[in-house]
This record gives sequence, C-alpha cells and structure tokens, in this order.
Amino acid sequence: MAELIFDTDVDNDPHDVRRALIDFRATMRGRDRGGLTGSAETVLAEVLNNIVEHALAGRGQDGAIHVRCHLEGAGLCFEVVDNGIPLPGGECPARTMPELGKLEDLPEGGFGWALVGILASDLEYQRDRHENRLRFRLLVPD
Amino acid sequence: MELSKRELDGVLIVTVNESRIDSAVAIRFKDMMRQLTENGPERVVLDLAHVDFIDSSGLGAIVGAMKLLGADRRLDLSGLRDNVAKVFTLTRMDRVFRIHMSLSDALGG
Repeated sequence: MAELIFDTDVDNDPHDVRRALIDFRATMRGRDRGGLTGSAETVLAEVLNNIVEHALAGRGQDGAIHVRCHLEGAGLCFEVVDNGIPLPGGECPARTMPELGKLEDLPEGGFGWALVGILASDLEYQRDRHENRLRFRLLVPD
Repeated sequence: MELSKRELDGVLIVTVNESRIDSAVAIRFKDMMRQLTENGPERVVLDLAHVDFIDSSGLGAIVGAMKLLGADRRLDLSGLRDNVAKVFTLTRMDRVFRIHMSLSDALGG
C-alpha cells in the first residue's frame, strides 16, 4: 500500500523551494535506503526550480505549486502540480547531459533535466486545462 | 550566503559556510566568488565540507566561478560530501575539477 508521506504547497519563490526540500529531507529521516533521499531531493529540486524559473516566471504570488509524495514499496512516487504555462512542445525537454568541452566553453546550465533523467523513473507529463502535472518515481538503487 | 577566505602557503582557500548552494543563492555565490578571488594566488581551493546539498544552479555557479579565474589560474574543490559528490559525478564535472578528499589533502597534494 502506498503511504502519503509528504504533501505541501510551495510558493513561487526559490527560498520556499529550499524550505520544501529541507522539509522533505526531514520527512525521509529514518526512511532512507541506499541514498534514496539524496537522489529524490536532487530530482525534486530540479523539477521545482524549473517550474519557478520557467512555468511560473513573472507570475509572482499567483504561481502555485503542490507536491505530493507516496512511499510505495521500495521507492518514492511523486506528483508535482503547478498552474504555470505548459512545457514547450507539451513534453519534458531532452534529458541529455551537456557536453563538456574546453574551459571557456563549459556549460553553466542545462544539467537540471539531465539529472532528472538519470535519477528518476517513469517520468510522465500531463497538461490539464490550466495545470501541469508531472509524475515520477525514485527507486532504491540496486 | 556566507563565504570566507584565507591564504595558506600561497593558496587561496575559500570556505562555504552554508549547507546549501542552490538556486536561491547561486547568483550571489558567483558574485561573491568573483570578489573574493579577484586578485591573489594562482591556485584557489573551494572547500565544500559544510555543504550537503547542491543543485544544477549551484553547480553552474561553481563552473562560472572557475571560468572567471581564466586559463592561468585554477579552482580545485575539497571536502565534497556524498550528495554533492554525486552531482559532480553524474554531470561528469568530476573530470573537470581536481577534487580532493579534504582541505588538508588539497594543500598537501
């Protein structure tokens, strides 16, 4: 049976994203297995940052995010809903890691979705009338 | 964002006295790194021993700080905790930076 372990509203603000991540980590205390908490925190951070920076850009306090996380078997099942603009093309961006070249050409961004792609499973994006709904799982590493 | 710096044996050591380098502080972090490393030794060691979370914005800010040093200077990292080390490994940035187990390793090596 899935158990709802984390259920929170997040303001459209990087400081509240941080607050939610710290709360999530506290929730996972005593439930961690094989570094699951750290990986989940990374994925949730990248998903929430992306929402604040893109989907809800310029929306101020009208922007709303809701995060729910269920503990399911050996893993975590997340659902993140926001009332921002849809993802470009109606799907999650490419999740390839940026190439690393010479010092002056090193990328300073573009790692977020790639980290999500590596760490999360079963990523599903759905656009409802006015909402983005992203679901993903974090599985305990073998 | 609290960073402190000191010089030891011709190396500039910048210590991050915060537990997180995330999107709430990434721009400020890069600005502070620019100020703290503007002049000084060729070699800079960024001590991350107090940091237990970094996101892609924080990673980008560290890369940006290294690029600001230019080709003649070098930014090494020390004291990466598990969660932080994982982000460097997954993004392959562990091949770009010289990463030391601890500050004393960084200074002895």
